[in-house]
Amino acid sequence: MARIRSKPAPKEAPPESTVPKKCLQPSVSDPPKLFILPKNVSSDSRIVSLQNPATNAGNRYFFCPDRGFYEFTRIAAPKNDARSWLLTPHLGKDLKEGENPSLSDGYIASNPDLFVATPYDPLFMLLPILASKSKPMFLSLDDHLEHASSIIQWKELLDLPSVRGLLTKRMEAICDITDLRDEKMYRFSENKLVNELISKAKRMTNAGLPASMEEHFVRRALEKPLMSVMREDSGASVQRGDTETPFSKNRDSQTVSESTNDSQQSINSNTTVSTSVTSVSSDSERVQSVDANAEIDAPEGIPQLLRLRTALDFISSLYLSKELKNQLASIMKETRPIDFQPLETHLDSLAKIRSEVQALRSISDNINKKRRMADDEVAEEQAEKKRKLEEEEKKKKTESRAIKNLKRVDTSGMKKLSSFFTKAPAKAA
Amino acid sequence: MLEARLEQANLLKKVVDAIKDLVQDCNFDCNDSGIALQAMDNSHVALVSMMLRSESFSPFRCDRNIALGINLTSLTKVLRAAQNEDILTLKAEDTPDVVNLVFESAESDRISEYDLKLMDIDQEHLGIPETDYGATISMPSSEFQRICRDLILLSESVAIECTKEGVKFACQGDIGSGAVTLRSHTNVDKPELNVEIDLSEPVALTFSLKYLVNFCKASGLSSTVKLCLSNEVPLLVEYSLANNSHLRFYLAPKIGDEE
Repeated sequence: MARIRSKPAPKEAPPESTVPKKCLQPSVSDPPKLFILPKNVSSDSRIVSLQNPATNAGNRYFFCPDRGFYEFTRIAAPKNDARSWLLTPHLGKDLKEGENPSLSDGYIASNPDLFVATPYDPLFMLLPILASKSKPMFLSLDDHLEHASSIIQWKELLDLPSVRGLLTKRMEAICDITDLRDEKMYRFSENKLVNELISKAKRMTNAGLPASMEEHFVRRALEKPLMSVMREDSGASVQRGDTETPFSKNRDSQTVSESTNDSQQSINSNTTVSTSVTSVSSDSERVQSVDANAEIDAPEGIPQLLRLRTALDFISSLYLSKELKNQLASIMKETRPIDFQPLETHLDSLAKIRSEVQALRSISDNINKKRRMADDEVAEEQAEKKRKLEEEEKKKKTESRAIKNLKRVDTSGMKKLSSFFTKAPAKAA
Repeated sequence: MLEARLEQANLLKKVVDAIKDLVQDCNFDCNDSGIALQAMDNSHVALVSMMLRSESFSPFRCDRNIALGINLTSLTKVLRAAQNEDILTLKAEDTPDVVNLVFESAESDRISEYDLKLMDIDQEHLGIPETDYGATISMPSSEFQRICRDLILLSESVAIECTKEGVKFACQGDIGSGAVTLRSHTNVDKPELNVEIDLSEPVALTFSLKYLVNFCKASGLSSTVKLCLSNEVPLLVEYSLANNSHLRFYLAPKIGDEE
């Protein structure tokens, strides 16, 4: 289990009890950040700056020689939510002189971010190296890493024997291998990568997608538009037609939703997630899923297919470079390791229905507008009626008691006078 | 332009008092022959018809036919400000928004003036044919009022039976029954107490006593009342006024409701 390392565990005791009258230090330009790191990592663990395989930008990773790479996932509060960290000192723990006293005494970090280190498959690190070659060739590991070792951080890492073992293992997963004079030669195989990705995606879906992803990409995508009169409700489903929304956005929303859990102290990082894919699918996330258990109205197997595809999209958009992603997409189309055909036809039909609904709605909007014009006259008539009613009401109020009493007289058997006397403009008598 | 001067405000006060409990709003139709009024009650089973001939006024001037739509409750309020002996003058423009009432006290030099807002009233006019009634009874108005007031304590409706023996007002109620019979009677000393029955055919009809009691509010206008009945025809209760003027009430009989 991971444990919180960079900050002491909080206790109920307020900081004032142990440290009376403490002046707050002025805010610093580069305040400490909060990390949740895996525990039992070796003392050689470090944070390294490496190229992000997806963006090619520099990215920081946590590296432990024994356990491998970890990536950091930032968990942030919504921007307009004013939140900060209050770190309280460990109760009963004596302060040792000189040991980062500021944090142990208690600390307020204005930045509410929390960085969680989650396991990261070095396979993705290898991809830029392997896939950059225009023509895949059988090469030894050293040759493959030749390019990488020119980068200083890699060089340092590659000097560690465990890294080589780690990389070799992962290399085998995505490369064709031949033995050449007792030396293993590796050639990047896109098909193998595809299979690897699919197995990752499968593992991701097996445990169930995180609730927000499930809601956003599966439930909503499969939601049938309402054809009945209650059209207002279908607005959400209509605007969301495709599943190809950028995952960066999704990731934001996910980190946000996670941070709203106030269990910051006890986020027992994703140790249950067996995949090396560091999705944010922690258990705390699943708690939020309120209606996730409700049935999805779709043919058998379709939701599962969509989940798988969503997971695949998620993985490839997070960890693969654009070019590689496109490359893999075309391979997937050709080889069809998973048949997404039923899903696509279903989504197509849904999109069709949606467009029909939208067309219908625009027509009915039109009709409403036209009717409104005609309604003016009706409204006038109604106003007239209303006025008359009000007058009548007023009349009734001013009615004398005698007249009211007369109304109560039993007139049964009495014909109206108009049945005796003809209606005529002639004056009476 | 209408200008009608009544020597005694009393007349109009009593007329309005007599009909204000029967109708709420009505048109006073003014033309050169006088001021006429016809209105039905809310249930349209009773009708009041008033004619105040121009001779009743001095002077009377009406250039054009004018309909004064008046709420009788409001008119009552204004007329309450007039004393019985006051000289009342009604004035209105040709297309009036208001009717102007002036009360002049003959004794003192007091003049009070009121403007009453008029209303537009849609009222259907019924043509009432001259009818030869099977029975015509004239009696002191106070007698008729007494009969109605006595009988209404027993029942809601009264059966009026007119035979050559006389006229019988009979009613039957929860607590019992009652009947008042009048015979032709001539009082030489006090002719206003005469009861005259003019019968061409026997008549038996039933009427709502509540309405009759309402009609009786006009008793102060005239010492005698004339009841005209024919089978299957509304009852006519007529109070004759001076100068050929009259106040008439019509009431539909109760049919097919014999108890």
